[in-house]
Amino acid sequence: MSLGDLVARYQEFKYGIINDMADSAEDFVNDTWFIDKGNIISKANYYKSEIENLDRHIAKCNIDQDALNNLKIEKDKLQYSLAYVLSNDIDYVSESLNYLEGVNSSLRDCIYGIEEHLNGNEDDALKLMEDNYGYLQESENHFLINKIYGILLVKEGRYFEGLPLLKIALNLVPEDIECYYFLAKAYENTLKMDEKKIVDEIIDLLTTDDWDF
Amino acid sequence: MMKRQDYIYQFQDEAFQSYQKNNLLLDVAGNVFEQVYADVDFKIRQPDLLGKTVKATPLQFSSIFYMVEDLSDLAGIESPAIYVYEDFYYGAESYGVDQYWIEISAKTIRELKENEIRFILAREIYKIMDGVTKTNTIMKEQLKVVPDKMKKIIQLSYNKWYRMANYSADNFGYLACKNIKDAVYSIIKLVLNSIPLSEEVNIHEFILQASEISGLNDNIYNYTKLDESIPYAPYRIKNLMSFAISDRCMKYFR
Repeated sequence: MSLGDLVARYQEFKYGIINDMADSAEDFVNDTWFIDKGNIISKANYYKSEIENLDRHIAKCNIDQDALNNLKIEKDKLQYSLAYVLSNDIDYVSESLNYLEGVNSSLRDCIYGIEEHLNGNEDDALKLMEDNYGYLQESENHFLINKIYGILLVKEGRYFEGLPLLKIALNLVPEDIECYYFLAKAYENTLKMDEKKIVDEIIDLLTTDDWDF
Repeated sequence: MMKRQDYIYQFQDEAFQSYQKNNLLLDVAGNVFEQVYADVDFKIRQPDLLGKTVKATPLQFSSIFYMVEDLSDLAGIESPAIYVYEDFYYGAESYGVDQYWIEISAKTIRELKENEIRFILAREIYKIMDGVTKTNTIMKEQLKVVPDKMKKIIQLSYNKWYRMANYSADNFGYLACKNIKDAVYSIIKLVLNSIPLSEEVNIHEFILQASEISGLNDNIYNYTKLDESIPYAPYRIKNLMSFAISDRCMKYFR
């Protein structure tokens, strides 16, 4: 075997491992559960690519009705997952609703609640969250719904209810200053001053003098 | 004494089981590597430590000696030996499989705040206590003899677990130093190796670099990320803040 052959075999083996290990389930690549714009975009691109693949299969599948129905069910699940991921970021909230068109779901109504909050209609936002949050699948993995609902509850003076939601949100996005601000307010009003002190220290760490809430 | 379930990183034990499954040498070689380390490598290292570094005692670097005693008491372990060496870099690392020691650079002691040093040393005490140091030491022995073809597979699986063990170490360190700012700036100073550079860092902005890392998602990027044994600093800071507001952490501050 020549040196060139050896190098080629080694490269092939090395890239084989890279492909096997790095292209494997997302669980192996990601160590954390944190949500950020980067992984939202990565996941969204993955779901969009899978949906496109399914659309191609659906377009070809015109004989077997059962198979066609199964593909459509699969597509609905992917679209739901895509909407779930996108709606975690304010910049993609409107886009997320495109994937829930015609779908009657708690996720869709919670996202409407986010939109109402962003538009300043806080009473409508709170009503939508209250009516739908309890039915939302995997509510503990959604940052923005927990953040907005938590903030709305604290603003209403419902501190004990808002506290756990803000903590869920911060567990997913630990750098969200607005969440910390309302969490501190909730702790203060529930007389948990030791906890408030910790939150104040984190706010101090994250903010500069000219931070605008 | 602090309970393990109160600071251990969520996925760490699962990752360790996965590493054990992937590391066939653990089945085949058993305690051989541990024995070789104890009989050979440990003995090779000891004269150098005693001859080329300063051992912390009640009369030399006494504040460090008593700090480690206090941290060991907190962890419920025998106090390891501490050796101080001169180096360009900040840092501390623990070694050993049944007799343990910590090596810490003089620059760390000279330039970091006392509570930052406490955070750094507490991390190493955790690693000794939870078997991370032992596993790491044995792993380094194995990598000397394992064929290249097996090395990468074992290494990637090991790195995943070791990254998570470092998150646990950070959590324990924070509980030991009780100050989020000191814990975060310890990480930043170690990564940047410069206090003036650390003072320029805007923590919120620095953490957003994690989002850029997350966005780098193809086979080559992912392989590079998987090849790291220590988590990237922005993720470490996020983990610390997430841990700081958790119920299991806050109960130690009431």
